[in-house]
Amino acid sequence: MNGGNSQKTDALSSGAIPGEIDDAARAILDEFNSRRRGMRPGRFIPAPPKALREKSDIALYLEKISVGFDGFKALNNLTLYVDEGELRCIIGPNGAGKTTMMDVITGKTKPDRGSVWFTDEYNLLAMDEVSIAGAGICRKFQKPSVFEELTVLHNLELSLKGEKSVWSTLRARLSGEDEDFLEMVLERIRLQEQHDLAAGKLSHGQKQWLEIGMLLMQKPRMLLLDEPAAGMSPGEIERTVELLRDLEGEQVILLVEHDMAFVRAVARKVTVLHQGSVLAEGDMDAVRDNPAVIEAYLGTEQC
Amino acid sequence: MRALCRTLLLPCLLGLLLSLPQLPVRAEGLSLSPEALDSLRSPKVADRERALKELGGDASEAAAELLEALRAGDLYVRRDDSALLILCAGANEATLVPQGESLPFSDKSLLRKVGISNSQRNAIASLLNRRLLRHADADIRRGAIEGLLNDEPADREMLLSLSAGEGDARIRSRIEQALALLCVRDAGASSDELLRAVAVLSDASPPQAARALETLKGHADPRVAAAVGKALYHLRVTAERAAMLETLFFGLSLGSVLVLTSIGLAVTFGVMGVINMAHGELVMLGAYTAWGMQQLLPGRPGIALLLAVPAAFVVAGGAGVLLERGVIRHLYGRPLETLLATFGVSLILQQAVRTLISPMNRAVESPAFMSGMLHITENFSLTCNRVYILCFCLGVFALIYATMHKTRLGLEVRAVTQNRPIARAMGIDASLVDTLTFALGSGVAGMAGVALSQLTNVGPNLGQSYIVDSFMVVVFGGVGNLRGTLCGGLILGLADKLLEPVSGAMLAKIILLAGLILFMQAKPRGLFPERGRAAEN
Amino acid sequence: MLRERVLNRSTTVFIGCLAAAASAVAVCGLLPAGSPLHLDTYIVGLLGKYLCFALLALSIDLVWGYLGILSLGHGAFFGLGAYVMGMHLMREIGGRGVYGNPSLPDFMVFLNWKTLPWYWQGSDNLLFVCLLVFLVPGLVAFIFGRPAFRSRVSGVYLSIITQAMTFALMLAFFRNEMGFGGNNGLTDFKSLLGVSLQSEYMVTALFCASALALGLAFVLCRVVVVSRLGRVFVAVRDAESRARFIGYRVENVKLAAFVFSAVLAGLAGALYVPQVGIVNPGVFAPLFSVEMVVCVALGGRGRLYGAVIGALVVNFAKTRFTTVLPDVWLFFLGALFVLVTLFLPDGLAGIPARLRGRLPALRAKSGVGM
Repeated sequence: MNGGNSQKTDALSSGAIPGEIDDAARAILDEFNSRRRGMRPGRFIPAPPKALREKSDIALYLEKISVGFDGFKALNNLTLYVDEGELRCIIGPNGAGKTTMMDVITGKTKPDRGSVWFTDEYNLLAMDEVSIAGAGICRKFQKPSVFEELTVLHNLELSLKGEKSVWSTLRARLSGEDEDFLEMVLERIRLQEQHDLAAGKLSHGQKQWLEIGMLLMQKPRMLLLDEPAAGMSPGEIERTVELLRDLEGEQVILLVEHDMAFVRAVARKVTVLHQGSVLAEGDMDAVRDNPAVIEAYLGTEQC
Repeated sequence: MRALCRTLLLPCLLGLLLSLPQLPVRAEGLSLSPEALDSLRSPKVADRERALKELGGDASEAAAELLEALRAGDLYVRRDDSALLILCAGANEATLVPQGESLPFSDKSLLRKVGISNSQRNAIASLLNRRLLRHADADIRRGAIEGLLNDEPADREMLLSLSAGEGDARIRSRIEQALALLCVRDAGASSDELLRAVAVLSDASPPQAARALETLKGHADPRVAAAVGKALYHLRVTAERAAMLETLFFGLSLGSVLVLTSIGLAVTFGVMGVINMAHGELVMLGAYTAWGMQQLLPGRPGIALLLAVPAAFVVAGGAGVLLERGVIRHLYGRPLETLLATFGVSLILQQAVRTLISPMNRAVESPAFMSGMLHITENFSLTCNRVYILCFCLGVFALIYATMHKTRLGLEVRAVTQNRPIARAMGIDASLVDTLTFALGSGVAGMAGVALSQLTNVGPNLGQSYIVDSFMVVVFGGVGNLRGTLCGGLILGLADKLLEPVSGAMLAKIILLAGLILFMQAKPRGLFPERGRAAEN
Repeated sequence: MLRERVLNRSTTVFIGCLAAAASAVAVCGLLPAGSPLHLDTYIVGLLGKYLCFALLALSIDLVWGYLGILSLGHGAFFGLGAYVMGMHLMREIGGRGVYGNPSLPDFMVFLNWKTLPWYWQGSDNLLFVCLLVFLVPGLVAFIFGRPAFRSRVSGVYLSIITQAMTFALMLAFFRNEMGFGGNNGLTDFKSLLGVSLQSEYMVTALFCASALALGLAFVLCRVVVVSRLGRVFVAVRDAESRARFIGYRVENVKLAAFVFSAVLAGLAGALYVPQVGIVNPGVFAPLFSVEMVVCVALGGRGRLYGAVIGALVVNFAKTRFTTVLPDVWLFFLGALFVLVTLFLPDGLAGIPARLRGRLPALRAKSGVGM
């Protein structure tokens, strides 16, 4: 009895949290938050990490992320910063964790450890997919994912930024402003002529563009593009490169791609992932000559 | 192990013995005084006492038979000559009493029944029971002792002499308990005697022990009172423990039934991803196969049941092949359509059984080795059929598990379900594998039906009542995971039986459903989820 | 512009046909018995029953055809609406029951109950009951749907859970202790608003109410379907996770549609009870719900009017079969399930489009529209 009591008081006195939250305490809070699926930002949110507070132009902040599936580590202590307005390419051999990283950012997968912030406003680990999308982080899937039954126009209309509750969706009308914006996106993705066609009837490349268009409709702050050039003809790739160049600077773009020519054409800065962590980072030429990168690629090719 | 064999074997042998047709025993050598015979002929019931007294003292078989006839109302007086006759219902031969000659006779209008009062009937039962106390068969002796422990009066001397001649330790302990009961009920017993009796009774099971001990609670001797308190506590604890064990056993038993009905589904739904709403009807087909086998082999329920297991596998498996080739094959990749189409098939199968056989339930006879009890302790015994079904369930599970994980077919099945195009490229005939897998799942459903036929009546609605539960088990255990199905089924069965005493059967079901929905919220992929990259997509 | 979209050609035709047929039936039903055009009250009542089933099928089509939620338990919501209305009709009997107890329904007297259970309070007030007809199924659908949709139970899992729900309700309503008449359900109704349920005016009025309810519900569903919300339905059906990633709370969309659909089903049940004069736990039987689903499948889902056509055809067939060849009905129904799913994925309503040769679009629909 006695011993138990004194232990309790000990724990109370030593557990007093000092004014400044240290990293360990923050990690605990982060984990606590990450377990509360669907929580809106603004509650129980720890202060943004130091690096974010000191360097204000970091947009995406991933630190020490680990994700394990049944003993296999898809992400292993991954740390990655992306600046405002940057177009960053992520490359890496199969199984390097590129798609898992996207899953973590968009809330599809919760990491075992680590913290993910979008600017210093959003602690992404405390948010679910829908609120992350609401924060302006939009994702294009590896396989083009559009609403095949709906027309191109309707696909874009549904993606329009705005209130998306059930009731407001029921009463939603397109304003003149919305229509102009829609028109502009249609033009950008070069689908004006097909606007009344069911999306299922588009070619593969057109579907990819439509999906990018759907992201643009949300006026995103960050675009996550998972292999946008996959399955495209050389001509289509060229136009996609143009589109991306066009978008650069307006928002953060994170691009995962296998096609090296494509990466070379669009990227300024490239990050190489290997076995779940960053292997190299820098411009395309520097990365290509990096011996570790060469070994990673060749090593996997030998398998 | 040998003891277990014996306990399993004895009831089986006994059952076989009892199922043999009983030979009529002649009432020879019966010596009754004329007064006793007159008392039997008398129209007044009260006059029988005399005859009963004499018969009670007569140890011969003939006396027993006469008592039996008297109790069953088979003893008659012929109106013309006042002769006493034993005429069994439906027999065309009567036995003269006390001569023991038999003569053909069937016209009951010439006879008057020898009636007895209710108390006399009880007395006769007690007399007959007492004869059995010295029967050669230990089980029959034990049954007779149980009767003594219940309500029948007994005397000390007889019990003591019985105890001395008894070889079976278990029966001897029973006799001791009966003696202790007598002692406790005896107002003149000394404290020491009482203490000994209480000690004996504290290990006894029947409620009489507790009731008799209750009367001693306020005994003047504090030692006796304390011993009684302790004994009562001990009795209550053992009774509760037995009740708990029984609940657990029933839970496991229900669980094994759930597992049996859902293993097939775990193969067709879990592994292949086909929603087969007609699964319950395949179970039903299996149960009807068991019934049909008994119709083909009348009077041999044991062999019929054993043969029904492979037969049901073939029948249900064949139905599965037809179903897969005819319907499901054309709907791969459209789960909701598959659900509807197979639901239609289930309606057709049900109605077919109703039209071709009967809309009424059919009872499938239990062979002797399936009926009976397995006594584990004084208070705790298991019904054999449930034990066998539990074993059967584990056996079937092991078989399916081995098939899926150790055979070529299992390897091909897993290959096809994981990546159909690649499997085909490797030279696997994917459509054949589909058919075989489906046949396997369906066949197992049929085998489950045979097991179910031993627990419930077989009717057209048999399958319906299990289909939702089976899907629940598969989803709960984790789709695509056979071990999950085993654990899931047993857990759900246990949970159901543990909840039942608290909430009632229906509410238990609803609580389980609600609990399952909540569970799915926490673990959407079930108890044993498939993990890794493939499962993520 | 909204009016144009809601009342497109097929809808206008449909509403026009419904209105014309309903008024013709109503007029014929009220004609004197000797007139050649007179319709027996039995026929009018039967047609009214069909309309209730059509409304139920419509509610199923809204969630299945547009949102891809195959509910095998919509009979439960229909049944709840029916029981609420049945409670009111029981109270209307008053002292005219077998036991003549003015405050307790017959079955409660039979069970030796002394007072009315709390949940029967207020059921003598028709207005309150009308409110409950919407509230009870809606609430049950909400309570059931919220955890289910939030935990992302979908596809066949959801279908099986809905079936389990209606099965559980059936077991519950079979119990006498529930206070809803157990096995026999609620029956022996005499009147509504003081007018005998057998009178031709009442039968015609109930028929008209059913037709009106069906028409209104149809237009309401059209409004939902042509709105942006309707397109979100299709979006969720086709690519649920994409819809989530562009910011729609899919679980809320599903829940709203499910509850709305349940309310329509409850309304259908409430109109059904006074026309057939009985409600028993059979409405919760899984088979009844699945029968309604096959109506939708036969008519053609995702079209609204297809559901109505399917319900009328199937129930007409059921009436014919069960009077002429009762044993064959389940064979027929079972075969219907198999044949429609195998050979008529777009239902009866899809046949004209098929004939016109718009096959590719339809094929895309049946393939992806799961």
